[in-house]
Amino acid sequence: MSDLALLKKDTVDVVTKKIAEFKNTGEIKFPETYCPENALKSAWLILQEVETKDKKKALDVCSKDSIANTLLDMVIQGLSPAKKQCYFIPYGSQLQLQRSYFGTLAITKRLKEIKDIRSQVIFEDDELEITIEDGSRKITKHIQKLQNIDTNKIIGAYTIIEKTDETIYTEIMSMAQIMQAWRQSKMYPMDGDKIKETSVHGKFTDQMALKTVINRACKNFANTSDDSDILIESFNRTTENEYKGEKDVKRDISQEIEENANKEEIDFKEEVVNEVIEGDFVVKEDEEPSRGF
Amino acid sequence: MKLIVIGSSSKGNCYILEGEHHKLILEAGIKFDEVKKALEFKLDYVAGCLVTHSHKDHLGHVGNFLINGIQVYGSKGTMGELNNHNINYVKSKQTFYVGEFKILAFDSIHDTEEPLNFLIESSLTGERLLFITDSAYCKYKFKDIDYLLVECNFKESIIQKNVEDKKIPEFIAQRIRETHMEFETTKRLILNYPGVKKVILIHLSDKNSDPGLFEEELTFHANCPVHVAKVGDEYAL
Repeated sequence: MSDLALLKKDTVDVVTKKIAEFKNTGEIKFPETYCPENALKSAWLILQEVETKDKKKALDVCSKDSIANTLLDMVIQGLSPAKKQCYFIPYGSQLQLQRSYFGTLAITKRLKEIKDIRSQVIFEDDELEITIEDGSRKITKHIQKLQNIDTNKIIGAYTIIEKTDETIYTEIMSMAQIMQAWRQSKMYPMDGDKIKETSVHGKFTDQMALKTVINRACKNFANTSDDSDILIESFNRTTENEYKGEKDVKRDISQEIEENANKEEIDFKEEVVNEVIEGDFVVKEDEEPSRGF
Repeated sequence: MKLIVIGSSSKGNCYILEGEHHKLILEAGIKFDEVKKALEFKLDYVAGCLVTHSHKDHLGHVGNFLINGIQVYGSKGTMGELNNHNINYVKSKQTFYVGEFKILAFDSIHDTEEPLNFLIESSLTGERLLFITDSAYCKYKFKDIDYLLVECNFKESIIQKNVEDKKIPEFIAQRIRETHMEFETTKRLILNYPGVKKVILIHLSDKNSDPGLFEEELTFHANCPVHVAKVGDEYAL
């Protein structure tokens, strides 16, 4: 059996068995349209293409346990990598699952008591009215003119979750709060007080602001829902993957240093990318040397 | 060889490595006027300038270097949108010559695109200097190193205390841990090169380091003199 087939046996097949157990005991119910086997198949294909920062295959570098756990988290949350609901990201020897904004929406909509989720970005000059009723914020009016829409003039964003009992949950974040969340992001979109223009957050500021407020709303919501613990646990684990937990990172980097520092031996290559011009170093007396190139 | 320190902190980094005939500038994070002064205005001896990554304190003044005809060597990720005929793109694990210096670029661990560090050998004397900065650690191990010019940015105990005292926020501390070399990592690196003749510690953090302690403790562990680079220092290598 090839290495890849062996690895598949230790990861994908293990997860498939585990999922079958969950199904049998009724611990978890998948949406009717979700087929765990198909999601696993497409995940396996995608995983073979995932590379680390230094262009190594994630499947060669990441531990079997982390691969299996990532796949299990994906299936428990009913996420599909083909629909870009989640991504696989290697951190050192650990593979991690990151949920996209589509993924967060999909999973929250799956929670029993949720009817709909809607989100909007608030631009400068928008007319916004927030009232507080019974201690909860409510958006009673939001008027936006077309000319207000400018990704450089975002002042905040909000998400409204409509429940099946017709109550409404509102999450509002100012741009300052959103940027504070971005400072914790593993993608380093911030440079001090400014959003890096070249980052995804700089290029698609409105979309990323929506993602952040949706994430926060869904996180708060999922944790107060009465859905199965397995699902919520898995949901929270993936949410954490996106942000740099204090201890996580310290452990990550010291583990990485332990594993990788001062290991790979390298030396000058025979092949030189530029050649020294013959006689370049020859300096005659009383004459200044020529410049290198 | 001789090394002159023009800047070695997050305010700006620049070093001059003098060989037999040529000079090599390391980093372009200091005003070119100051570099010229340190070069005693003899630009003809300068073979080129190596840049490690795109942060301002390393690349901020590269425009003036290029205008003044200095050949600059860095990765595509570092040079970004910059466009100038004096730019020479290099990649990790490539060997190239800059004047009398033979150079091997290798990738470092930092939060910029394609950051590099360099192994520099005098092709006249064969002496080797390993230049490592702004890297959480160095993946690689090299043979026959004579001199280390290596980052020793912070000490975990000091940074932890600063976080507790609210002098720096935790997320900044995290970023530093992921992108700069900690005292113990530097120590481990030094201990990997027992044959080294001199160690020069660079890029110490203002808040999170202790130059006296670093020098003292690392001198104790290394088999050679260990110095903390200060602006204006000159070291015979």
